[in-house]
Amino acid sequence: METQTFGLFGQWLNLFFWFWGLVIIAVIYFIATYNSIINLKNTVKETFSSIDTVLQNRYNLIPNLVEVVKQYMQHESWVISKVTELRASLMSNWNKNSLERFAQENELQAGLKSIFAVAENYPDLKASTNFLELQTSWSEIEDRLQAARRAYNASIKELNNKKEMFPSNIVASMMTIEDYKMFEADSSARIEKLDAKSMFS
Amino acid sequence: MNWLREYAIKKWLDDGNEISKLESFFDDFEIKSILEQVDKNRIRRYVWLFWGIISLYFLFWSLFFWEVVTINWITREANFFDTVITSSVFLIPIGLIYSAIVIFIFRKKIEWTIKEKILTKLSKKVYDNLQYDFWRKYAFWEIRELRSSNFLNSYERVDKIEDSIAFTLNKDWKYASVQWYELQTSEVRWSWKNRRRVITNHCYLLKTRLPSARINIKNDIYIKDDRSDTVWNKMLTPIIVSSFIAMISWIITKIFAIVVVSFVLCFVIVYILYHKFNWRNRVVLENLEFEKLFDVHSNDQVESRMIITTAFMDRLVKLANKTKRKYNFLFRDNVFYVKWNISSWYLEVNTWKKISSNIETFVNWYIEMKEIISFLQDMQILYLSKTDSKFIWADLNPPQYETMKDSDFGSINLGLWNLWLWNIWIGNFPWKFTLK
Repeated sequence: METQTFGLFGQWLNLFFWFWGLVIIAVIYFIATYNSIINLKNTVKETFSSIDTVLQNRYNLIPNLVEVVKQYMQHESWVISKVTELRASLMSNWNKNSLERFAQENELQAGLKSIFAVAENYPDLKASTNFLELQTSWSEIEDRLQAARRAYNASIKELNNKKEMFPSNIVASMMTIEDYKMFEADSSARIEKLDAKSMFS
Repeated sequence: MNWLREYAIKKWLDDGNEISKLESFFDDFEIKSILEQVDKNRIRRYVWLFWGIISLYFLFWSLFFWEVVTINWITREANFFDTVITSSVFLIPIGLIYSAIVIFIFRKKIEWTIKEKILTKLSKKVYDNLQYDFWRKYAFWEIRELRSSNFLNSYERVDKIEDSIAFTLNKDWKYASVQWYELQTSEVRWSWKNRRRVITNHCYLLKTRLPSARINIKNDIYIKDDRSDTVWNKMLTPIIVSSFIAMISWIITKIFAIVVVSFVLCFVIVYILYHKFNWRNRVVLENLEFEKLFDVHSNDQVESRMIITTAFMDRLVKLANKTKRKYNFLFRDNVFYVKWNISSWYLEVNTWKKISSNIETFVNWYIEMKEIISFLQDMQILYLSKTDSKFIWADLNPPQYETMKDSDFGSINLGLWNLWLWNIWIGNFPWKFTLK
């Protein structure tokens, strides 16, 4: 009888330890996943702010560039004024993470590319030291911007994976996570086949 | 040399011009005469060994024989066969010493002939500005820094620079300089009896300095060869195997099963924590092929992506797939390092095999260097300034000799001491290889 009681008690004890063991493991997992999701959210914000930093450098470049080129490029003053207007508009919408802002940034990038492309027709401008420095700075800024966008997209992808994949989606559903949009190429940049002949004609 | 063409094609060299270059190089009269001289030296070695030992034997035998004859004349006791046996006993140690000396001398002579005369010329075929000198070592002293960045983490000590080459990517040394080292390294371990056990490894280390890099790299970027797909894949195998063992052991004894499961859990926890607290964050990139082959670690996600563009990733994957080597890269302060492990016999002259096996070794080296240089030239295009008039450093000197600090190399002096003795023996002045 005593042996049977002890045996039953032992089984209940066994079950008790297994149950609480599983609960502890589940709690540890919940805490770890919660922290990792918070970490990813902060990483997304950090990478977005690094994009903002690079964009700020680009905005700072524009007045110097306009000052240098406007003396030479009198026939293309409409490009310069468009770039100046876009810059002013974007500076006023600084903190917005919106599709409208991304579209304006793409327009600004296209405008700057046009200025540098058109400057090829002005040998005096091309030879100017200031212009060359600005061109180099712009090139560095564009490289950095591209890298920052890639980092931003990568961090969003990781966060989305955590949100959608099992079993971390259980923890993610209990949290409030903003829906972040990845940077995508402009529709004009998505050309399936490039026609080199028309480009150089 | 028909076998050379087939061998080169087998070793991934698909450029017909390069194969023709190699063929014409080894068909050259001067090179052929050097190879013939090497073959003659090989045969001379055997002749010296054979006749030397025979002569030594007869010398000993005759000494013992005459001694016995004179004794016989006095004591009327003589045993012809005793002289044979006694002289043989004395011949063994002396014969071994003599053989070792002959083998050493001829080995060094053959090695010097091939490396000094052939490899120096072959290096010019690889690239005009390749400087290889058998007697000179282009040294570096960033070992502590490299070790602290875990780039040389499995090696506690760099013993010796076995070979080194210096070259520049442009003829006037203004843009980038490259130094290439074959290192002999060793790892000190403590066995269960607390005795030191030293394992010798070999690796190649390529160091490229980019003085006019367009991008200033402030943080370390470490690209490590890692063929496991994901962290889970790395852990899955031990988990599955351990679970299987645990299942079997549960049948045998529950305690053993608990021990195994606890061990696996500890391993998994330690592994996760190690990766969590690794000081360099993992950079996950878009190219899946690249991710399968390499792991990138850096403190700055943006800067690492400025270097590791899609073109760069494609280029690395192409290099790794073509050469089948496991490369590790480190970017630091506009210098980047490439490291890959090799066996100890790589680029070593084998004086016992036919000369064609040595040519194969050098052809391997030629092809590999061509690939690496092509990769470096692509890197130059990617990372040097396109408007380079601003970034020319007129006072950049070629890295011919750099002062080596004894404390950084540990036993490097032993290697240099051997080299110094050899130079004395063949008549070179010691100052010829003293580094300034």
